[in-house]
Formats: sequence, structure tokens, C-alpha cells
Amino acid sequence: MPDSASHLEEVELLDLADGVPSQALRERAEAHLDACASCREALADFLRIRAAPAPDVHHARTVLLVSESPGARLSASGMPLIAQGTLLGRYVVLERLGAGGMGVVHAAYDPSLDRRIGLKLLRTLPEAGGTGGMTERLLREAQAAARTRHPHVVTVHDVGTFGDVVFIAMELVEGGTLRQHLRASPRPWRDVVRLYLQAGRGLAAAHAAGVVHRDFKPDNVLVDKEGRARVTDFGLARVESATATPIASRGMPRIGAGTGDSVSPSLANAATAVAGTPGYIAPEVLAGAPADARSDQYAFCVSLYEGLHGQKPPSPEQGGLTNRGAVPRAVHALLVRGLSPDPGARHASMAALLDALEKAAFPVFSKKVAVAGVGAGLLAVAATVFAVMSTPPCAEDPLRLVGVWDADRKAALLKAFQATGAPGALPAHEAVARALDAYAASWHDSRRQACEATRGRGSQSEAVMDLRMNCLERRRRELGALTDVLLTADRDSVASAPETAQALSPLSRCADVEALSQPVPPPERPEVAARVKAAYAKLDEARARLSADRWQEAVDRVGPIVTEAEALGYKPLLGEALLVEGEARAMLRDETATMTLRRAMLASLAGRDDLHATEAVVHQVYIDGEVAQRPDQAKVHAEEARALLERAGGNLDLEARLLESQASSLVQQSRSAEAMPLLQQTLSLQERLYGKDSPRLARGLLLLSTALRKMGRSEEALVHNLRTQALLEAAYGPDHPKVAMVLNNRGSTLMELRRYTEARDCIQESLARYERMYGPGQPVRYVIGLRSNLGAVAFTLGHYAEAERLLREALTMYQAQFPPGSTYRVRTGNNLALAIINQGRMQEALTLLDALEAEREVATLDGRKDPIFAQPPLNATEVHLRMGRPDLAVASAKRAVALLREMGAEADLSYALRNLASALSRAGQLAEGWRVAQEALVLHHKLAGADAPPYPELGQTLGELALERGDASGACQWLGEALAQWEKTEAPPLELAVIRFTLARALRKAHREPERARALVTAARDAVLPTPEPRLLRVSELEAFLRER
Amino acid sequence: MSNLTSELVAAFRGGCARTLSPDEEVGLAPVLTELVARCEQAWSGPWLKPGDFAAHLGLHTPAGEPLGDALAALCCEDLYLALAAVEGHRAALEALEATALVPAGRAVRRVEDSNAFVDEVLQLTRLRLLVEDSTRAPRLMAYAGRGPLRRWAEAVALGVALSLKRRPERTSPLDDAVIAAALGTHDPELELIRHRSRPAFRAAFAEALAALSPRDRNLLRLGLVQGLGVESLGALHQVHASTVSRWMAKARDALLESTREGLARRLALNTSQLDSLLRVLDGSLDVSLASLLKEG
Repeated sequence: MPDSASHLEEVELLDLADGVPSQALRERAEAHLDACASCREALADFLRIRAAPAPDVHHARTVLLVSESPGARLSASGMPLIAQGTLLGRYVVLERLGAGGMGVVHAAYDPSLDRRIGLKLLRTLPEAGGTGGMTERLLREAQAAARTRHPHVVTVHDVGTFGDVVFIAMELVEGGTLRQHLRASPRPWRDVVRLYLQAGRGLAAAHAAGVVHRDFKPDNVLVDKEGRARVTDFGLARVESATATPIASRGMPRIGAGTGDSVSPSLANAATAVAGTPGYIAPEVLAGAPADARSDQYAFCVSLYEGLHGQKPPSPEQGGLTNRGAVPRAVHALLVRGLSPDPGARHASMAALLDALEKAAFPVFSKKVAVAGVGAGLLAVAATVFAVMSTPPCAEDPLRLVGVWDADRKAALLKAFQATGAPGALPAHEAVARALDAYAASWHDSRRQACEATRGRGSQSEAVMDLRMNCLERRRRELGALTDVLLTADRDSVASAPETAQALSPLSRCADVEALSQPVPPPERPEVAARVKAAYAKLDEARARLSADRWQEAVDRVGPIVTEAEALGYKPLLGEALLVEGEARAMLRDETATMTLRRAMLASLAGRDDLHATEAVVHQVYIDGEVAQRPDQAKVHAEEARALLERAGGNLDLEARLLESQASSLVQQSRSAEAMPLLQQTLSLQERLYGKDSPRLARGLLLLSTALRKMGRSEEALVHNLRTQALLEAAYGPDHPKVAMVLNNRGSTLMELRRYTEARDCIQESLARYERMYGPGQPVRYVIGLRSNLGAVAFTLGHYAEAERLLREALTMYQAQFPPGSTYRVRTGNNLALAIINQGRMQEALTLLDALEAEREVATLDGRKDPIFAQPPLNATEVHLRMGRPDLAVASAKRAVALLREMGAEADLSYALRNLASALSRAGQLAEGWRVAQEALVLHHKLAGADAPPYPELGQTLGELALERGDASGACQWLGEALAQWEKTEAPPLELAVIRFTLARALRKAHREPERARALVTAARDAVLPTPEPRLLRVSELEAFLRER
Repeated sequence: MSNLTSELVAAFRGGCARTLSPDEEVGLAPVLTELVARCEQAWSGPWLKPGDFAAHLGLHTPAGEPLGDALAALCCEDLYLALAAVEGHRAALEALEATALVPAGRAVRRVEDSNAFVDEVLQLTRLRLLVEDSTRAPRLMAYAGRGPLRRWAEAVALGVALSLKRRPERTSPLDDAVIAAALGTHDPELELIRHRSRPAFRAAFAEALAALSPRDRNLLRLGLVQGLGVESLGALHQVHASTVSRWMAKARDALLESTREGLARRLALNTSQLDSLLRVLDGSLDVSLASLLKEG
């Protein structure tokens, strides 16, 4: 007996599923299933199958009932009669749609295409005598015809036999024949020509594929619900001719029942011998020549003549061809030529005939199309023309975007922009119009390509075309929604309109068939499908808000869509909706974005929508890396994103964004050196994707600039910053949130370069632009940051009271907006502590710093890491030094150094080491101090370059240490250089007091420049005198220096 | 003992795992002769050398019960057919088709009711039953005669059909952290608790799961992971659906309760924190159960 370790066999599974296992099997199964997931799954499958109702096998096996009851009505001869619900091959036969000379047509369901199709079942062919092989020949031809894919040809999916019945599975066209269509109401001659032009194009396409129709007539052209003419039944005429004898002998009721036209007896008799319908058959075919493209042309002209004049062309005996009514002579002449009895005298081809016909019938129209888009009036005319004519899907039809993005809308947009009175409305409009025109053009292009792949080249299935068209349809709605948003632009949003236009979802994804076919197909039930469709439309509107940087609006709008998506249980929709919400929240710097994005990812995964899932994860990398400072989380997300990208088969756009977010996390952690290669990769990818001038490069460039600044390469940073601004302003104009961000970052770089007033101007400008766009105090999380930065500038400029006020305000707001441990709180609190320290309130500063250090613990628990957390201990170092407690200062500095070392934050580490060295020097640990200062110097050279001079603080510390170690001339060197650097900046005298005094002492010890030494000390004394105790330097010490000679 | 019967007994002994006592050997001879005759008659004609069939019988006669009973319990005719079919006897193949495969095809229709699918499944089943592949003997050799061949073949065909139907495994590249996070909440505090307590939760859960009876574990897994309904599970256990539903509810409660205890013990959470946590967990318990059960 098999023991419990071996897998359950099929028969055992079956016994279990049927509830008839032996006791032994039951026991073994219980034990084995407990340990074996694959057997559990197998058992579940068996259980499911046995629970399913058994199909009616006998019914399913009843393939065909072929009735041959003689003497029945016309259609009964050899006609297959099939009950509804019968399974034919993979097709489920549904209701009967009609019967004709060649067989019956049923609607049927095709599970592999998952749609209704038309199933034409041809009458059985008499296989007697010389007609043997008829079925094969017919099949061959029908299959050839099936290869013709054209918007004006009814698509044939499949051709084959069931027993001895030939079937053709074809697209189901809802509508009527062209004959019925024309008879339903009188049409102007132009409409008739238009429909025949379409049908003719279909015929010409078949000719190009080597297929001859053999029986073109208005009954073989269908007009679908969109008013599009489609040719059908290629090559099938032979079926009728092969079986026509008994019918013809009974007086050809089919033809008689048709139009009631008189048919000459000779034609009627001939019809029994050749394929085709009397009256439409070319004379040479009647005479026995094989049918070809020119005989099709003849039939086409007969049909068109009939459409225009209500009767077939009269024979010469009946007076010949006459032109009555309003049909232009040029059109008539073309028909006369096409009806030439001599095939050689007809038009060279259908295509030639159609081109000439189009020119003759629509001379004005052609011109109008060429200039469409110039004036609103013209467009209106063209639109009505097209509404009747409808458009072939593969043709580039400029009117498909009418009402979405057209000349009217363009003009209305200009009016709307100007009405807001916003400065720069005109250039903004130009930029928007350019972007939307380009989008529209490429939309047309994409549509044509999607269509041609199926209809033209036949290299793609209808289902795939549907997917691509559906995607493009959504893009079209998005374009419409976005234009709607733009039309309601107010003064503020005019400026950001150009970027809004740029942010439309790329069309390239609509060509990514693999990705498109991934998501779970939308629900089938029509009422649910309609809700899904409506929700997508709303989602497009919300996304338009997101693209327009109206983040809060996007969040507000997407909420109900999320609810709806949950109610519908349609995961791809839910995933996309949550993605929009998460993205908008991310832009609002709202940390809850990470939860939203996670849900988005899960929903998209559940919906098998890998690309959107990846996008959600990429945004999480951004949130965790930049907004919430959880670098470990960011890393995890980055890995997830990479795995997903791999699974989705890669996507360059997402790849670039992922790299960018990873780099952003590294920059945030001060690991600029590691971020650099990622950024370069990102930028080169994006340049390749979007071009060198694309605003999409902005984020990467900004990050690059920040990374450089943090590495001490501020001049380079400034260059990139200026390039970013130029790029953004060219694309979006000056008042745009991203431009404002660039300005803020430039402020930070200028601070680093100690160009403080310029920095302040930049930051104030940034603030002004935000508030112009979003209103005072908006968007709040950005504005607080800018105020905080202004506080920092005020501080460096020595305006401590003002700095304290600004920083305190900012801190209070941050505390309301962000959780404890958020770096925004810590950074601002830290700057506030500095402002307090410089106003001499040491104890207060220490209390604040302690509180900030405590926040770090919360942050650590929360997975947040940031170099900024080293700042509170570093500032405590400063406080302890001022209070004359060098040991405590050393301890604080060591905490900061340890923290940064652990994070690998090299740039900040260099500064912290400098502080530690300085504290060690004051604590008298000179050797240790010197070693630490050297480490700082090495690190600095590594980051900023081997030739870069030490930044002044480091130079100052090195000088101080040299002096303490008795190297007076070395000290003079370090300190002199550092002071020279300081003096080039706008640093206030108080900042320079210490270094001046130290240099003075070094000079005196080296017996150099006594006058300069005195001057330095005097300046230092003047700087510290107005400050409260405990002062940076003791005045008594300075006085004593001045007294000595 | 005639030559022929002693040959039969020797062949049987050769195929058989058990040792035969002399008494048994004596008793076996007429039984084997009769069985061979019965089978040949049933299929109208000898398809096999009697010795080969006797060896095959020996192979499939289970040890551990009296020889006579064991032989009597075997479906000998079907064993005969199976062996003959594997050896490629044309009439046997036809009989296999008619008696086993055609009915199996009807069963397969419940998986997908289309001729093409049934044909494909039957073709694959024939291959599997009759053709040796590089590693395995023809599957039909494994038919041990312990039930009708027809049912056995039906089971194999269903297995083939189901594996054809089963979509390629969509393994998520992400670990269950993702699923656990789906228990999501917007309350950051709870989020924090949940985040920190995840390992503890998993440990407590594993412990609680291990404490259930195998039946309950399997019920939960089949119900929550495989998504089977109570009717199907009722059929499995030959009880009414409502009984299954009661069993499952009990199992689920027991699982939750003992997870809760384990969690409280591990995290030393106070009652209100634990309640909050469990509320969060309970909100999408089925999701988490499903994901955790899958690995357990």
C-alpha cells in the first residue's frame, strides 16, 4: 500500500471527490493532504469537476440534421437545418438570422473569440459527376477570401466543414444590405456614391489579394449600424451556380422576388451555367470567360447605376445608358466606361475607378479635408459630411477628434486663457496647442497602425485590435477630459497648462499588446460593463486633474471611483484608481500615499495588470525614499519593482522612473556618490526616450544638482539647476510648480555657496510663484518648507530673531502636518535650535535638541533614516562647547558621527567629523582631534575632488589643532586660507570672530604680522560685544590679547 | 499437477511479493486456471500467454490478506484487458477504447464541453496509458485491478483534462508580506502595531494551525485557499453541506481564538491593543488565512 508520503493517484482523488473512498484511503488522504499542497489543489479540481452538472452528451453529439425534404420552399433544398443550442465544433449555434440562396445564417457564439459571430452554413453540394471536388475548391476560395482584411470587407474568421456541410464563421454585422438601406429612404446621389466608394474600396482590397468576388451586388454589401458599407460573400457565387439548376428551372423565384426588374431570358438561362446574379454578370463572363477583377468592376458599376437611378442599366434596345436626375456628368461618364461590354475598355482597376469617382463626386470635399482645422465653419461642414459617410477605421480621419481637440476647441481655449487675464496666456496657449496637436497627430497615427495591423496586413487578430482600439479610445477620452479641464482654467492654472498637456498618458502603451492583454478582461454582463466603462471615463477625468497638478482635486474625484471599483470587484480598475489617488497624495507629500499605493499594487496584481502594479511600487519607492525617509522600505520596494518589471518584460519609462526614485532615496541619505551613476543612467534613458529638451528630464536633473551640492560641488550643481529651469520654463512657462521647486533648490545651492542674499531672493521667488499658482499658504507642505528655508537664510545672515520667528512658525505647522520623527520636523527644529543658541538661550536650545533626539527614536522604530538626525547631537556639541563642557560636547559629536557612519552618509559625515575634531581639540585631546580632522579632510577630497581646498569650517579646525599642537606656521596657513574663504562670503562678523581670534593667536606665536593680528582681534571683539553671555569668545581674553604686545 | 498449471503457479510466484506456502500453491493452481479461462472467455479469445497474465496477477495481488480473498477481490478481466492493451493487442485496444475511454470522454465533458477538448484529452490519455516515456512504464501497467478499469481510466482522463485546464501557475514574485499588508488600515498606530507584530502573528498562527485536527486544517485550506463550496466539501466527507459549514465555522473560531492567545502571550499586548489588532486582522481574515494556510 502506498504510504502517506506518496501523492494521491487520480483514481484515489476521484474516489475522494465522489465521496466513496475506502476507510484506509480516507485516513491516508487526510494525513497526506495536510502536508501536500499540490494534492490539495488536485483534489479541489476533482471536487469542482464532479460538482459541475454533466452536459447533455446526446444533445452535444447531435451535430447536424440535414433535411432534404423535396418540394419544400426554395430554401429547403439541401439546406442544413440546425436546432438552436447545437454545438458545431467550437461554435454554439444561436438564433437563425436568415436564409438565402446559398444556405442559412445563424448567430453563433465563438468561445475562443468570446463573441457573437455569424455562422453561414452552405447548402450541401451535389457531388455527382463532374462537380466532384467542388467542396474543396469552394473551401480554398473561401479561405483565400478570408485573408482579405479590410474595414469594408466583412471579416471571415474561419472556414471549414461539419460533415458534408461547409461553414463560414464570420464577423456578425448588425444592419441590413445596401439594397435595403437604399430602399428604406431616398438618398441624395452623393450618399449613394459614398457608400459605393466604401464598398468599392473593399472590393479593390480583395482584388489586391487576388480574390475575385464573382457576385458583387447590393445584396452582398452590408451596411452596419455606423453606416459603414461592408462587402461580404466573396467567391460564394459558385455554391449557387452549382445548385442553381432546380431553382432556375422553377423560374428563379429568388431574383423575381428581389427587385422585380425585368431580366432578359437569355441572361436568366445563362445564370445556370456561370456564377453570379443575372443582370450583374459581365457580358464576357456570360460568354464563358472566367470571372476576374474587371467583371467585378462591371457588377460594381451595374450596382452603382442601380443605386443612383433606381434601376439597372437599360440594354441598348431599351435606349441605352441615360443620365437622369442630379448625377453629375463626370460621375455618369465613369459609369459608362465601367459598363463597357469590352473588358479592355473599362477602367484599369477598381482603384483607378474609385479614385476618379471620388474626385468627380466630391471635388469640394477633398479640398475641405485638406484645410480642415483652419476654421470652425469649415469643420462643421466637413463633420456633417462625415457623419453620413462615416470613416474607414484605418484611414486617417482628422474628424475623429472633433469635439475632443479640434480647431474649435483650440480657439475656445485661447479665449478661455485670455479671459483669465493671466500674464503669458498667449505663450501658454501656444505651448498647449503645440503639445495637444502633436498628441492628436500621434493618436491618429497609432489608431491607423492598430487598424492596419489587423485589417491591412492581417498580422493581428480582431481581438488584439479591439484591445488597442479600446486603449486608444481611453486616451481619446483622456484628451477630451484634459481639454475640458484646460477650458475651465483659471488665472493660476493657465501657467501650468503646458505641463498638463505634456502629462497625457503616452500612446505607446496602446501598442504594447502584451501588457494590454494582461489585465483581466472587463466584465461581460452589459450593465456591469457599462458601469466599468463609466468609471474609467471618470478615472480619466481624475487623471487629467493629476496631470494638471491639481492634486487635491484628483484625490477628491478618485474617491468615489475607488468605491465604485470595489463594488464592481473589477481589480484592474481598482488598481488604476488607487494609483491615481496614491500619485496625487504623493505629490501632496502625504505619507498615507504609501498605503494607497500598496493597495493599488495589490489590486493591479490581482487584476494581472503588471505595468500599473509596477508603477504603484515605483511611486512607493519615491514616497519611502524621499517623503517618509524610510530608505530600507524604499529599497525593498525597489526590489519589488524590479522583479515586477522583469515579469512585465521591461518598460523603459518605468525603468527610468525607478532608477530616479532609487537615486532620490540615496541622495536623501546623503549617499550622493552612489546616487550619481543611477542618475546618469536615468538621464541617458530619458534623453533617449523623450529627447534632450523634454521636461521629463527635470526631476532627474534636479536630483543630480542636489547630489552635486551635497558632495560640495555646488558650482556644478548650479549649472544643472539653471539648465533644469530653462527646460521647464520653455515647456511650461514661468509659473509652474516644478519651476518653483527648481528655484527653491537653487536657493539651497546658493546657501551652500554662501551667497545668502541671492539664496533668499530665490526662495522668496519660489514662494511667490507657488502662492500665485495655488493661493496664499498653498500647497501647504511646500510652503512650510520654503518658510523654513527662509528662516535658515535669515539665520545665516545673522538675523536671529527673524530666523527664530520664521522657524518656529514652520515647526508648528510641520508638527501639525507630519508625524513625530519626520525629517521635516527635525530639520526645522534643528535650525530653530541654532537660532536660539545664537541668541544665548543655551538651556532652551538643549531642551529642544533633546526633544529632537527623542524623535529620532520614534523615527527609527518607524523605519525612517536620514542624515538630518545627526544634526541635533551636532548642535548639542556646539551648545556644550559654548557652555564650557567639552567632554559632553565630544560625547554628542561622537553620537552624531556614529549615526552617520552607520548610514554611510559620507557628505554629512565629513562635517560631523569636523565638529568632533573641534570638540576634541577643546577637550584637549589633540592627537585624537588631529586624526579625526584628517579623516574629515580625506573624505572631503574623496567627494569634492583631490584638489578641492577644505571648506572653511574644516580649514578652521585644522588650523586650531595645528596651533594647539604647536605648529604655528601650519596654523597660519590653514587659518589664513579658511578666513579668506569666509571673507568672500556674506557671513556676519560674529561667525568669523572665532577664526579671526585663532588666526591672530597663530600669527603672534609665529611672530608674524602683529598689526594684522591686532586688527583681527579687534574685529572679533566688536562682533561678540553686542551678544549676550555666554559669548562665543570671552571678551576678557580678547582684551588681554590686545593689551599684550 | 499438469505441466501447464505448474507453469502458471511458477509465473504467479515470480511476479508476486509474498511467499507461498505449499498448501497455497496447491490451492492456487485450479484458481489460476479458472481465472485465465474466465478472462479469455470474457474477451472472447486468448490475447495473452497464460503465464504472462499469471505473473501480472501475481504482481497485483496484495500481500497481507488471505490469498484466496485477495484474488477474489481483483477485477481480473480488467487486469487482463489492461495488460493486453499495453502489449498492443489490437482487439484489446479496441475493447479499451469502447469500455473505458469512451465513457471517460463523457466525464471529461464536465471539464469542458467541446469535442475538440475531449478529443485532445483522450489522445493524451491514450498516450499516457499505453506509451512508455523515457522515465515511466505505460501507466496502464500500474492499474492494479482493485476497482473497475473504467473508473480508473476515467480518473486518469480527468487528471489529464484538469492539468490541461489548469492555467500556468501565476506565482507572485512577492512574499506574503504583501498579502499581510493587504490587511491594511489607514490608522498609522494600528499599522505600526501590525507591522511590529507580524512575525508574532505568523508564529501564533502557525502554532494555532498545527493544533487543529488534520480534517479541520484540510477543510479550511480547501475552503479558503481553493475556494471550494460547502457542497463540494460535503461530498468529500459524505455529510450535509450545513455540517461542513458548521465544522468550518468551528475550525475558524478555534484557529482565531488560539491565534489570539498565542499573540497575547508573545506580544504582551494589553487587551485594547490586542482587540484593535485583531479587528484589523479580522477585517480581512479570509485573505490572511488563505495566504497563511497556503504555506502551512
